[in-house]
Amino acid sequence: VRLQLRLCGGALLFSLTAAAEPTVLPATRAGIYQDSDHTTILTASAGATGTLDDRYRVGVRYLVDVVSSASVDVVSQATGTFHDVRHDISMSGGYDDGSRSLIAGYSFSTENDWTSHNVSLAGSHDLLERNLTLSGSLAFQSNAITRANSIGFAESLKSYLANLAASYTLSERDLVQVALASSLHDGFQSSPYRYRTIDDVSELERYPEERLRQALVLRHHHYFTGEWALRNHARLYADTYGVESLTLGSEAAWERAPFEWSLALRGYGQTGARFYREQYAQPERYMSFDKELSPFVDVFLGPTFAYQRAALGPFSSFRVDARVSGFYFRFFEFAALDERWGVVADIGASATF
Amino acid sequence: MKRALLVFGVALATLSGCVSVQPWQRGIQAKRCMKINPDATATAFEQHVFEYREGSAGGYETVGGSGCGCN
Repeated sequence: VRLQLRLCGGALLFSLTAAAEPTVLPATRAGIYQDSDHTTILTASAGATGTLDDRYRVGVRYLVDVVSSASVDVVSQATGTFHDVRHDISMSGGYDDGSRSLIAGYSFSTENDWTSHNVSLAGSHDLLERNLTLSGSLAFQSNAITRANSIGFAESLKSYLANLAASYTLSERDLVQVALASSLHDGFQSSPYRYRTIDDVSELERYPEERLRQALVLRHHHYFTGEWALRNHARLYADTYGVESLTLGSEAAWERAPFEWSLALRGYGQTGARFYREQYAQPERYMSFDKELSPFVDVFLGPTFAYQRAALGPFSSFRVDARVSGFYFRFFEFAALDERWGVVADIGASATF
Repeated sequence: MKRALLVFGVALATLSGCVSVQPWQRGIQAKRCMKINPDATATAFEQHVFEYREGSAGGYETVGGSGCGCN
């Protein structure tokens, strides 16, 4: 009995020591987007996640987007090239013991003509000996929209978002997930800059103020012998603007420590919004001149490479990854731009100490 | 939405009917390539491109700040 008590005491002391050990996970990422429509976006982020007592997690992240564009949308408004910088600061914190979590978050982003506050609450719970994970999140966004170099233009947009997901371990080698996402957007949702001349009158595009968006995502991950996995997903989407879309994605991933490789292919197609027209003969209640609300298809294809070490210098783990994707868009009802192609690439590094 | 919830409920009920993998058989499931979202920041970068270049958004476990998306 004394031996058992000593063992129990030792185990308790070990667990307390291990539990009290805080960990910090700093991470940074930088990326570039460049397309044939003369748009370049540089993005960089830096942040850190810390765990306290193995159960409490806090995180903070800063992200910046630097945009330069002379796309057909911009040029058609006779404003030439524009430059903008978007700053985004986010923080989160809550409980996470590995099988249950409840995390609250807040983010603030601002750019030349747009300010956004976002609060969220996300939780998850493992069931059936951790074979089933239920997760969900709620979020609220409040946006204030102005127009650069224009006095008196002030609009707002409020968004309510909900996600629900169930992940299930189908076998030792199979993982499936079904996820539902729903969001309601109430307020100004068109561009403050997008005008067209109709009947010799310059008209600003106008969208319905309320938009309900819903998405259903199905995923299946299968691990093959030979240390590689195939990650497939399909997504169905519909909204009250009349946009319906289908996304199909597949990624083959290899793991052979300390290296990882993957190759991802993603295809997407959507219908246009019911009020979208390539040309409007006369002003209508709702009008869109936005190619993102027109019918089109796109495809992304590209590899990812990662190097990961369990211990490196002062770090207990270290990881660096790089990925690049080429993409092609085909617009069916947008005469000013019938196709767009380009590249998006990013590199990231993270460590634990 | 009701149909989607029904699909979700049926899938959940089906999945809940059995425990197929025991804790000691979860080695493969612990691998990074089997995780749904192994790197939240990388996923957010990727979704940022899709959300502002396509007319649909949602369903990918990312909640970020808004913006005009430089359209």
